[in-house]
Amino acid sequence: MSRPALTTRYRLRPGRPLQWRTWHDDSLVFDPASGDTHVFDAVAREGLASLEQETLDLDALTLAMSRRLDVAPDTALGEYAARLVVDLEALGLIVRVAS
Amino acid sequence: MRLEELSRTDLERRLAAGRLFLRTGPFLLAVRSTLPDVAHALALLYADFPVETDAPFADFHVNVMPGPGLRRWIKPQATFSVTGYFEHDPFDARLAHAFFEWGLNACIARRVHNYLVVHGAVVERRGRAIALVGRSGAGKSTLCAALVLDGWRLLSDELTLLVPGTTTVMPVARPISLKNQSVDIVRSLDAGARFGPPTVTLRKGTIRHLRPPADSVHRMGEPAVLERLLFVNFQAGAPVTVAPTSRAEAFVETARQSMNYGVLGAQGFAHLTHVVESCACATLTHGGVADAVRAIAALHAGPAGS
Repeated sequence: MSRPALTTRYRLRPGRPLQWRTWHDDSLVFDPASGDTHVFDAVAREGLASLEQETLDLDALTLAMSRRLDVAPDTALGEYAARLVVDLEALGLIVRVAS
Repeated sequence: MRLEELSRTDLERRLAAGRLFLRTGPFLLAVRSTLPDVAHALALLYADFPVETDAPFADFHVNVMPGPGLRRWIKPQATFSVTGYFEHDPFDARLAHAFFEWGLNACIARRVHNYLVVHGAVVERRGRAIALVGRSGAGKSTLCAALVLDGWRLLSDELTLLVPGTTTVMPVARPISLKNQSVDIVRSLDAGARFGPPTVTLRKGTIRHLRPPADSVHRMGEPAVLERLLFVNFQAGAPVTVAPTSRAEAFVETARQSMNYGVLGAQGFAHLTHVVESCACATLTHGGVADAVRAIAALHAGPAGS
């Protein structure tokens, strides 16, 4: 699967107030629109939580995640963020926002 | 009045009229059957259960009847239905008494959404309940039977009914379904254990139902508070181990074993997270029920939630 374009911006799918429960490094997210429950690790959780708060492109998402996780916004985190938006989009949790 | 107080004639008359009002936990059943095997199995397995002479309302009208047409005489078939809810294709009449149990389970699992329903057994001692959760074949029922014969109160064998927003479990004590060698294992634990007639199936082998203890039946109006979720895993010859299970793992496995988590939506999510946060969660791996019973007794001897 190709890497999403850096300029593509993402946000939480509108009208989907997610319900969260976090235990240590694991988070459960209930999506009332689909009725699905998802399990996230700490890194993915911070990615989704970032997009829940604001519309972000990949660079901005990587920065937001680095701040939340207190790690450097390096290439590895950027590649993780790129994979994450693909997965979150496939789950119907986020959508692309027209520029 | 208890079912065993009915004469066989009276039992069969009530069954034929669909007016055997049988209480099992929160449900009042109106049972209809003209099959002698069904009357026989009910007399054996439900002897201690309360029956009502008349009732203006029943939760489920359960019908186990002879099949139609020529099949009454050639390879007889039977039908199972719950009026207004559920109807099963005709099946070998020799399975009729077991279908009463299976069909009722299926009906409760599909239709009862005022509880969070989880596929699992629940037993209680000193007011503290443990749920035994696991996939089919994990040995839940064998372990449940062994615990019950060791003096634990049976709340359920198949269906755990959790009251919304709480860890309260409603008892639905019914016969415990045991397969193949599990019957011999349970019999070796208690030679006096009473079973219903055997049912031979192609898929599951030979099944017999263990009659629930009278005390569990008499107390089936008493809910219990769930203290522990125990995920059961049988491995032949394995030593008994109890390992902590993370809340997320416990949630996922319990949701997977729930009959109606998906139906309950946000309410189910809130409820199940409350349950796993309130209970101690662990995985019990064992290779024999005697060791498992001892391990559970040791766990239960500790402080609540340990």
